[in-house]
Order: sequence, then structure tokens, then C-alpha cells
Amino acid sequence: MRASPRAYLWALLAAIDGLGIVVLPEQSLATVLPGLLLSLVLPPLAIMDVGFGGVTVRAYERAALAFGLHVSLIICGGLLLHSLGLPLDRVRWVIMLVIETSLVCLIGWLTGGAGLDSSPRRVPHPTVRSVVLASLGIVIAAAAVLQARDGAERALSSNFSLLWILPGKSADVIRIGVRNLEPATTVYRVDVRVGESQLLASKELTLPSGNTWETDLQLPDGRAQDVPITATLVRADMPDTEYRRVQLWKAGP
Amino acid sequence: MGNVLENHSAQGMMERLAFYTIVVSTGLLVVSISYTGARIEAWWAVPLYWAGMTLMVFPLIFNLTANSLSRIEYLSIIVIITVGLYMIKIMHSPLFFTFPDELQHWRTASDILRTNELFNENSILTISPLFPGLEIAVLSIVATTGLSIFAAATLLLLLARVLLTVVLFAMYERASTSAQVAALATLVYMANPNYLYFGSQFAYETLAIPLAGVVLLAVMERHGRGSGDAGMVWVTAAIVTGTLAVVSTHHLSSYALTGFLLLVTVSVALDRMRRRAGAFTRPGSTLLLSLVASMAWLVYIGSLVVGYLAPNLFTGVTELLKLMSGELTNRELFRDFAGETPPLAERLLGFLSVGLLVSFAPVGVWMTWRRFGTQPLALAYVIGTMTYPASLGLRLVRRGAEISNRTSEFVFLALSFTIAVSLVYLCLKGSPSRRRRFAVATWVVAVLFGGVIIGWGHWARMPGPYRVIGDSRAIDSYSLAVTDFMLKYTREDGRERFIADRVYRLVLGSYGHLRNVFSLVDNPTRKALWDIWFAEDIDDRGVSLLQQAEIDFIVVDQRLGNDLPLSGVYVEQGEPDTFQHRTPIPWAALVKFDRVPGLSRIMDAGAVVVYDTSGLTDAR
Repeated sequence: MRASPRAYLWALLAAIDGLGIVVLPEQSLATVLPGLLLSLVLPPLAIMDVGFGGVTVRAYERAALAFGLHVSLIICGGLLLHSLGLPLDRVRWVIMLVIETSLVCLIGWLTGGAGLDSSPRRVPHPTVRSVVLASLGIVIAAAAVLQARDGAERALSSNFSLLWILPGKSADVIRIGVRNLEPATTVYRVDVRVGESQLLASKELTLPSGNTWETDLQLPDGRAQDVPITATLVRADMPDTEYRRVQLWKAGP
Repeated sequence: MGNVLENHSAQGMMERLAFYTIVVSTGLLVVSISYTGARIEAWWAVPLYWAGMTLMVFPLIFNLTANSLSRIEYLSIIVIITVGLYMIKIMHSPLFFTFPDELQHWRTASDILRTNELFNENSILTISPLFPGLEIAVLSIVATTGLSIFAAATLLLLLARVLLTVVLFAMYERASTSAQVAALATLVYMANPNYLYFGSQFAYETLAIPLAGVVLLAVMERHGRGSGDAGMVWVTAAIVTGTLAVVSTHHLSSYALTGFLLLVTVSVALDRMRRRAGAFTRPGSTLLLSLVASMAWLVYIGSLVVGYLAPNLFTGVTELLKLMSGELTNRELFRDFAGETPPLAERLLGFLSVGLLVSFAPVGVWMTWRRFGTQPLALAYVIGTMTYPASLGLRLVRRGAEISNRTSEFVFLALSFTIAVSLVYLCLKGSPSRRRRFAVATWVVAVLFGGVIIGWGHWARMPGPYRVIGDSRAIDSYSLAVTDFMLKYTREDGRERFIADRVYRLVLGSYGHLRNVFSLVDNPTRKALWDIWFAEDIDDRGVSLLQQAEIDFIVVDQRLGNDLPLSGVYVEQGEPDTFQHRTPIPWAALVKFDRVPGLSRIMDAGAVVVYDTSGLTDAR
């Protein structure tokens, strides 16, 4: 039996694809398709084409064995990279996947593509009606997922605000922040005290929903070493209620 | 559409399959709407969920009961069902991972991505980095595509689910030589209580079990080839790399693979003793490989597994023995740790599904023995089925229920075959009437839905408003806002240590990249920290313990005082009153840190407060 020309095609395609992934900017939309081809499609197709053929293996078994072998090779390859002290970064992954595909094709060439099943396939042609029905099914499934995502996003909407107090970049500076996660623009009043002394007196803030306000405050000399700095947040629509309260004890040098 | 369903040509089959795609998608849309209803606690959400599930699977299962379909149509139908059921899980949490195990494995994957190295520390599941197969496979996709871990894992696990279905179908078909038995057996496998949610999550067994199936399929295929056959190279490669991949991906799956290979080897030996030809002659070498590889991994890399699995197993068995001797009363089935039970109809369906399986299993064993007794693989299924009643017994005790759920993915590999044999050769032989087919389809749907009810708490099955320690139900806008805050304002990424309740431990230990102290300290310190957590006041000794344990942050969700923990623990297993909390944690225990001089209350989100310990030394 003779090795299929497709076997060499997989190796070539994997090499071109891998080169494209390395050249394209990392984490860009352009790498998604080539990345999926290299990580999930080309190596198992090469294994399927070159390795698991013959009369005893049915098409679906061949696909399952090929994909299973590919995933297993990836896992063993990752362990091998680690044991060789190589980092598991993008370039190494790409090289490994290209090598995997090429090795499969090389073994296929060396063994004469003995496992290759070159018998003609009897794949039924889809009718127009089946294509239309399947497309409709996919559209409905996509609508279901979008509906689920929309419901999940709406469930994450919040109606609270965050107030924080943190040590600043130097020992005599503190950082105060407010984040509005209420559904609408909110008016607040912020007070900051060191012990009984006011550091920031009734600062009024108007924050649109989702926005953050932060400021650094300078501490007076010699203060706040043994008393806490306290910040409170009051909402303008609930002026008599302390809405949030935080307190910072300054650590010594 | 009737003429499409009756058309037996290849084109007719394609149109039928396309039609089933619409049926499943419509069912998915109904389930999706039910999820949205559940988020606002609409009364119609639960009935709509089951209606959507029924619409999704019943017509396809009914069609599987026809014995005139081609192999490819049987297989295609169960693949469509597989994809549909996987989508049910995805739509539950379509934006990011929310199941506890998923967060634990996300942290492992994220650490590998950040450091480009394996075997990092994971303070929310210490053994996860020691079995990095799943994360390696996912990160190969992340690295080449630029997709997020969530997107890459969702895609890979979809393929893994389909792979499992195809492999099971192939194995069952080889044992029975019937595509219908294979399809129904694969379908009954989906009735295992862990299949729908737990078995679809981003966790190591979701990939390891399909890979174990590939190894078994390759072992069977190896028999069909002579030593001079070049195809043998590939089959052997699948066996060797597949076994190593399973061993490095999931501990229990590798032990189950070894156990199943042992079962098959014993069956082969028995078969040879009877001097009958078997279809499965050389599993011994793979058994040896699997045994040596899993033991070597256990000794040199995954030694923590013993401490991870043994206590659960020991406690489960001990509780069962105490139950049998009358020292312990059995747990109330279906009742969760907050004292709630699912609706009566769901409980009845849960009992019914177990009853149906228990009653058909002996018939299936007998029929399998009679029909396929000469097939070593079928014999292995017969022996495996006999473990099912034992796994049910464990459900009567608290810890045993968890073990029973976990082992169901393996026990059902055998049980589903014998059950399918009984269904096909008892109920569907000859030309079954539509009424009989309807009854069988109803039987299968009842078992399938019963598995869902048994396997996953009713409060976790659907999304919804916040519940105290409700795992996926407790990850809400508060936990995300606190995580966002911690990511922005903590000083050393991944090195700072915190204590918190179970949910914040998972969320901050994963998405927050912090280190959970409870997993990093020795047992006496851990117990002392639990005491501090639950105490209504904190004294000098407690404060000095916080310092000794090098805790940087304490995160307190004050909603913990509103209810009992749905997961049975406020912090983690082993805490006082684990699985036996009778009253919610007192309010005083939740606000006690406000009274400690030097302990800074650095962030207030209303329900959730973050404390920083860095001021403790000087203030005291």
C-alpha cells in the first residue's frame, strides 16, 4: 500500500499554520482559527489518515482513536517539555504540534502508509432540506446560548458600593477609594478621620454607575501611629445612615 | 415531517438527523428560558426545565427503540443527545466557571499559563497540580489560539464528551455486535448520577475517562492486527500514550482503568479455562503498563492522593459498617445540609430510577451471560454490574453518598451494558409495537432524569439567587467585586495568604490568585484557626495565631449568618460540626474582627468585608 499524498499535505499545512501563529500577534482574533486548526484538527486528521485505517476499524472508531491519541500525545509532550526544563509557552507548543503532525506523516511514509484505508467512502450527500433543517437547529441552539448568557449577565448586576482604605506609596500617605456598583449614578459623602481629627471633611462625590473614585491623602506628621484612620461613606439619598465604613491601622517601619 | 421519519434511505436519515438537531435545540432553548426564570426564582422555572429536558431527549430516545436504523444513525442520535446534554451544563454557567472543582482546576491551569511550568502550588486543591494532563491539553489550545482558559476548556471538553460517547458505543457494539444495544447502553451510561453536571465540568476526570476508553478500544483493536501489521504501531502508540495520559490526568480514572483491565484479564483467563475463543486476548501487557505507571506516578509525584482519598473512603466504609451494626442512623435521602428537600415528584423519580435499574440489573446479567457468555468483555460487564448494589448501599451514609456518586461513572460502564441487553432482548425483540417502544423510551427517560436528580442537589441544578455556601449559587456580584478589588490592590500576585469561607476560599484562591491558608498550615494550626473563625470573640492568643499563620487578609461574608451552609460546611470538611450544623454561624462571630486593634478593615462592600493584618504588630 502506498502512503497518501494527503499525509504529506498535513505536515505542510501544519508547518505553514504554525508559522502563521508565531508571526501573528499573540491573543488576537486572527490566531483563533489557525490555532484551532493546529491544536485540534490537523494532527488528528494526519493520524486518522496515516495510522488508523484498514478494514477492521470503522470511520468513527478511527476518528475516536486518532483524536484520543492526539490528546494523549499532547499531554505526554507537555510532560516531556517540562522534564527537559523547557517552558510551556506559545512557541514551544506550536513547535511541538508541528513536530507531532510531521512525525506522524514521517512514520506513515516509513511504514508505507500501511494502515491507510484508500477504499472509496460511501458518504451520503446531504439534501437541501437537511441542510436547511440543520442550519435552523444551529440557529436555535445559538439563540439558547445567547439567552443563557444574557440571563447570567443580568443576574450579575449589582446594587452596592465599595469603600476602601489602603496604605499609600509612602508611610505618610493613605489611599481612599469608592466604586459605584449601584444601578444608577449615586451621590455620596466621604469623611476621613485620624482618631478624632478630620482629615477629609465631607467630600461630596457624584459617581456614575460602574465608575471608581480614588485619591491619596497626606497624613499629618506624627499622627496615626497608634490610632486608626477611619473613612465613612454616606449616600445622599440616605443621609442619616452610615453606608460603608473602613479603618486602617498604620504599620510601623 | 412524518414522511422524513419513515424514509429509510441515506438522504432520509440525514433529514431525520437534521430534524433531531432542531428538536434538541428547541429543548435547549426551553431549558435556557427556565434558567433565566430560576435566576428570578420564578415558580415555572423547574417545570419548564424538565419540560425542556423531555423535549430534548424523548423523541430521540423513542427513535432509538426502533430496530431498523443503521449503525451511523444510532451513533449520530446519541452524539446529538451528548452535545445537547453538555450544552445544558454550559448554559448553567455560560460566562465563567462556577463549579468548585472547576475553580480549583482553573487555578492550576492559570498558574501553568503564568509560569510556563507544571507542578505549581495550588492552595485550594493541592493534588490538582500533581495531575496536570487536563490543564496541559487545554493550555495547548490557549497558547495557539489566544482563547481564554474558559473558552478553550469548554471546547476541548465538548470534544471529550463526544469522544466518550463514540468510544462507549464502539466498545458496547464490539461486545454485543448490535448497534442498538450499543446505542441504548451508551444512553443508559448517561443516566449515571454524575454525568450531566459533575462529569461535564472542567475537572480532570472529564478528560481522563474518555482517554481511558480510548485505551480500552485500542486494546480491543490490537487483537485484530498481526504483529507484522504496520497499523499495530498506531494502536500500540494509542495504548502506551493513552495510559500515560490517563495516569498523569486523574488518579481515580487510572485506578479504574487498571481495575477494568484486571477484570478483563480475569475474564479472558476464565474464558481460556473454558477453552472458548475470545475477542479480547491480550489485555495483560496493558494491565501491567497501567499498574506500573499509576503506581510509579503515585509514589514519585502524586503521593498526596493517599491522604486525599483514603480518609473519605475510610470514613464512608466506617459509617456504612456502623449503619449495618445499628450504631448510626441512615441519612435522610435527598435532604440537603440546609434541611431542604426537592419536590416530592423529583424524589419519587429518583427512587424510581434506582428501582428500575436494580430490578433490571439481574435480568440483564442473566441475559448477558446467556447471550454473550463467551465474550470476555461481556463477562467483565457482568462482573462489573454486580458492584452496583454495593455502590448504592454507600448512599445511605453521608460520606458514602459522595463516594457512590464518584464511582458511578465507572460502575455504570458495566451496568449500562447489561441493562441495555435486557431492554433490547426482553422488551424490543422482533418488531416491537409503538406502545412498547414508547414504554421503553419512557423507562430510559425516567432513569436518565432520576440520575440527574440523585447526582446533583436541586439547588445547584439550576442557577439562581445567592444561597449561603451554595457553591455555584454563592458566586455572585459581591464575590466578583471583591476578587476584582483583591487583584488590583494586593501587593504580591499569588503569594499573599488569606482565610475565608468555602466560597471565597475557592473564588479568591482561583480568580483572585491568593493562597488559602487552611491548606498551607499543619493540622493543629488549622484546627486552631477553625476555632478562631467560629468563635464569637478573639483573644490575644487568637491574634498571635493569625500572625504565626502569616495570614495577610481575612475575608468575611456577613451573609453566612443568614442560613445553614448548603454544602454542609462553612469553611471546609473537618471544621467543627462538619455536615451537622444545626444553627447558622452567630452574627458576633462574623463581626468580631472589627474589635481587634491593629486589624484593619480595609474594604467594605456591605455584605462582605476585607481585613488586613499588616497593622497587628505595632498596634498591639
